[in-house]
Amino acid sequence: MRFAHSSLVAAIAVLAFSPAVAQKKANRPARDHGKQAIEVALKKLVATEKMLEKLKPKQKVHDRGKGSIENGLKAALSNARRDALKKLLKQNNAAKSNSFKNPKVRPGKVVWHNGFKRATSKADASGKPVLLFQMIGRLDERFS
Amino acid sequence: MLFSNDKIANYINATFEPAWQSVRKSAIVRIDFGNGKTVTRTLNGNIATYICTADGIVLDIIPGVYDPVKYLERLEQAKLLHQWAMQPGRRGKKLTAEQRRKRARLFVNHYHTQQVKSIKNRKEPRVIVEAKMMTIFGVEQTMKLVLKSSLKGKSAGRVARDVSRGRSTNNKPIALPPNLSSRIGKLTPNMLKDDSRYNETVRRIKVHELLAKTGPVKPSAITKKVYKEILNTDLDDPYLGLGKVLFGSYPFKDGGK
Repeated sequence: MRFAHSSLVAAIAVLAFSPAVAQKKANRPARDHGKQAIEVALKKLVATEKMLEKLKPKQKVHDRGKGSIENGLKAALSNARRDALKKLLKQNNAAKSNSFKNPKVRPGKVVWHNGFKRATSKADASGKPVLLFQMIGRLDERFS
Repeated sequence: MLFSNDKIANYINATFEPAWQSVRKSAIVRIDFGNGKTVTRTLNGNIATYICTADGIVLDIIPGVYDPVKYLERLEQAKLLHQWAMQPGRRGKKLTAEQRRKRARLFVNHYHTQQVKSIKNRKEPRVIVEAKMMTIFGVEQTMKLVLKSSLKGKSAGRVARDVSRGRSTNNKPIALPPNLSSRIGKLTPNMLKDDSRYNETVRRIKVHELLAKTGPVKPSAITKKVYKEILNTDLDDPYLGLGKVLFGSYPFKDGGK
């Protein structure tokens, strides 16, 4: 009995590992499992993701336009500019109040033309010579 | 002040087309004595009066400060100068702009060259005289403008009368006054007279030399030169020539070290 069992096992082993058997296996066409084997699993996955997505609260994004960004920036800039201008004016006024103010006076009793060009054009018409008075300082200031 | 003088102001208003021009801001000194008292003065100011044609060509320059009498005399001469240069054309026709420019070109060169020669040879400039000539019938003819030697102490009017009456002129040289530096404060009458004399002699020679050399120019072309070379004030100098006086012996110029 023991001999019969062991010989049977040996026979099966030979058959399983024989080259002919291997060749037969290689030649056998692949079994078509069908797309279901892959698709079903994938479908299940997608469905799960969708469900999860549905469960999330929806946040609507409104298109505000450029004004929301620009207006704020413009306001900030104009405020900064206004502040800077105020500071500059304050400094300037302080400087002016410290500096000497030359009092204005009447430039004598002569009736002066408003500039040399004006005087020459008047002289062209009147035939009179032009008198140009040059000075350091101003004729209409007290200290000159 | 010159232009507050009625005689001068009226004469200018009637005879000229006047304009004034500032060449630079004035240098002002303000001393605070710490007890509420302050004194304010100007430093190194100077003036120049240009006589120009209607085209803006400089005929003559009255340099510096004058006393009212001398300034008026100079203005009268300036008026005669313009009249002489711009005499009407043939048959009394008014000159065109081109003729005016041509006349100015010839006249400026001739007049100032003659003045330079006169000063160098005779030690005095010549004056323009308006002489009214009388005909044998006692009728006054139109005036004749001539360049005559000046008389010391006599006005141009007196010279004119002498020329009209055929009297000879007496030439005497004008003495040159000492060099005058600028002052802080109001000019006294004596200072004005000294200034006038200096201007009439030393500065006037320089004016004649400058205009004889440059020929017909506009005031803007020679302003800096006039101030620097004739009035001794360099307009480009930030300290108006007072740098040495202010900083030369200042003990704290190096920050007190």
